[in-house]
Amino acid sequence: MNLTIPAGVRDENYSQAIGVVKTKTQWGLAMVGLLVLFILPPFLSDYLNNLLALICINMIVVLGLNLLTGYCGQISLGQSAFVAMGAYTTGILYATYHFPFVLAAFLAAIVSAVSGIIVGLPSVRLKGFYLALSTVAFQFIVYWVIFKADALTGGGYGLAIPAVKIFGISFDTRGKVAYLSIISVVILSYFAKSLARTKTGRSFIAIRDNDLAAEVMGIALTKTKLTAFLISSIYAGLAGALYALYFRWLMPDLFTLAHSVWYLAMVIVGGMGSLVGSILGTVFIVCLQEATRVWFANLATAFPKVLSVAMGTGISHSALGLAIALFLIFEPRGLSHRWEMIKSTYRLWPFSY
Amino acid sequence: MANALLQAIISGILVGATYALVAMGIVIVYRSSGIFNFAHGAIILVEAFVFWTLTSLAQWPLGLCVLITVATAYAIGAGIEFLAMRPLLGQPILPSIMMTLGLSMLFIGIYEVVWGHRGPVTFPEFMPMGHWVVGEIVIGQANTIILGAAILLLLLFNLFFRFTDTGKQVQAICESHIIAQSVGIDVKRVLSFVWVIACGCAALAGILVGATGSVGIHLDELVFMVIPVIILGGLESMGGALIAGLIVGLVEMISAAFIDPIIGGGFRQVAPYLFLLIILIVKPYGLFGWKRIERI
Repeated sequence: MNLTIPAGVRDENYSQAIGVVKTKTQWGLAMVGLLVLFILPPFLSDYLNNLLALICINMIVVLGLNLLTGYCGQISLGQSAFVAMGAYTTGILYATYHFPFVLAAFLAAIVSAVSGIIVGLPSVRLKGFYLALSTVAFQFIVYWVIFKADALTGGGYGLAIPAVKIFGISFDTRGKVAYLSIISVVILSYFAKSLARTKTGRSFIAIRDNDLAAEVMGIALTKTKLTAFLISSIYAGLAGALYALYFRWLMPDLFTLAHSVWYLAMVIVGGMGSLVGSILGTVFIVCLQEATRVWFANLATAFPKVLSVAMGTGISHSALGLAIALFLIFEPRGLSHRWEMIKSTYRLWPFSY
Repeated sequence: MANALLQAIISGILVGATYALVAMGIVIVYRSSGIFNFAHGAIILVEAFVFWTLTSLAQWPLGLCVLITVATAYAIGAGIEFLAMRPLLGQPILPSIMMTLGLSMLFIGIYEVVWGHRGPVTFPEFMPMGHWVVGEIVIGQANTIILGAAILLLLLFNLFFRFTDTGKQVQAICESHIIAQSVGIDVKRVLSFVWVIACGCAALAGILVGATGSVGIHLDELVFMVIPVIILGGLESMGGALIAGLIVGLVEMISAAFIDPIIGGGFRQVAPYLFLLIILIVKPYGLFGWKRIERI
């Protein structure tokens, strides 16, 4: 576990031992990283800001999902349904009933949390694959309800959301949206990192590794599993609130089963049970999606006779499917494992032992 | 009213036959390796379009088209097992499930690149598409053929599991891969065989289901529509898949006939999933599944 700490660094007291950031170099890098993130948005084009915001919002969902799937071992194929709950609750409360946005987002998190607990209830009786199926069922039911409740949600036509104002600041440019997403993801990833090191996080891992043994050791299984569902759905709900602010037009097709699969793919590509992995995995998958899309759009305009633009989604799907398959075969521990290896190689160089 | 109910029951059974046909291909993979094959729908889709390309574009004779389609299905099955599933043998279940989801995405991508710009297509007619009318009740002939095919397939599978060596080996590796290996069964070969058979079922389902309506991206959704069927029937039971297919078709059609007028249409799409949640809570191992779910 302590492979990441350079030689000669000792924990001299308890507060050092539980610290997230151990060395001055780490402090420096963290500060520089945060500073770059906060200085960057005004210098980026709208396109790059959009991409940055999209990555950050996806990252919030994936952090939550990693706590549930990577740490607690409960498979959820319905994560984008929770995102939809959050997005539509925010949208309806903000656009239709003119709640303040922060209050709407807060209530969205609560609605997602409650639905998360309801979906999590079967996990008391079911394991692994059966649980995945009950979350699939939830996904379809939510999708259908959004279509049916068109008086509230706008159905297939969509729900328009006016430019959001928070404490007098209007989030009308893409740069401001990117700022809000960055701030949210920094706070939420710090929270996730802290949670993973507390008693709750440790009991998640214990349940993942062997639930019977965990129960024998005195971990309340039902309560802990439901806590995992609760936290991951709160993350999804908050991400949904940001989606409402990001898209400004909510459609049921933004929250399909395919999106749930992508979230799970981000967790797996990044590395299960690693929060750094969530960040790397999200960046990788979103950039892969975007890169194949842009690359193929350019290719299709270059050769309009041979290629049609409609093939672009197909290329993007194939690339994602292939990426998932290749990662599962060749790097099942994900990008985070690769990252650790690079770090230790760098630290040990030139003596590789 | 009585007629409407009877019509709903008959249509339900006929819809259920389709589900049963699709479900059997998934069940055979599940019972031998414990993996739910989410890619089954995408394979059905690709196979249906292979068949369409051969019959409509190339216009080859029907028998040859069926043979080639099934042969490509066998190749896909063997390829999936050898390239994708074999490296994951002995690992936890999540990577395998994720692999089938990734494969599903890959096959849908292939479909979109090769055939996606065409939209839904129809096969040239080769099955009787008419209806029998009994009193006021309408029975589709093509759907009856599917029901027959599902029952025939079930019979064949039963004979196969009971009387052939390979069938018994499949039964054996259901129990435990390691024990089967140690009594001299070539687990990898059997698994490869199972995937080939499953993809053959997918090709058959693609041809038959495609013949009853249009062929398009909606074929992929079949894999999600049969989840309630498989759970109700019990994940390991072939016969269960058939019976549960009929029951779920029934639930769907009856809710379409009697609940849709009340809440205004479309309840049919979601009724099987509500049914699924109820089954999962009340009787998670299904009607004929092995009662092996670990309770915590």
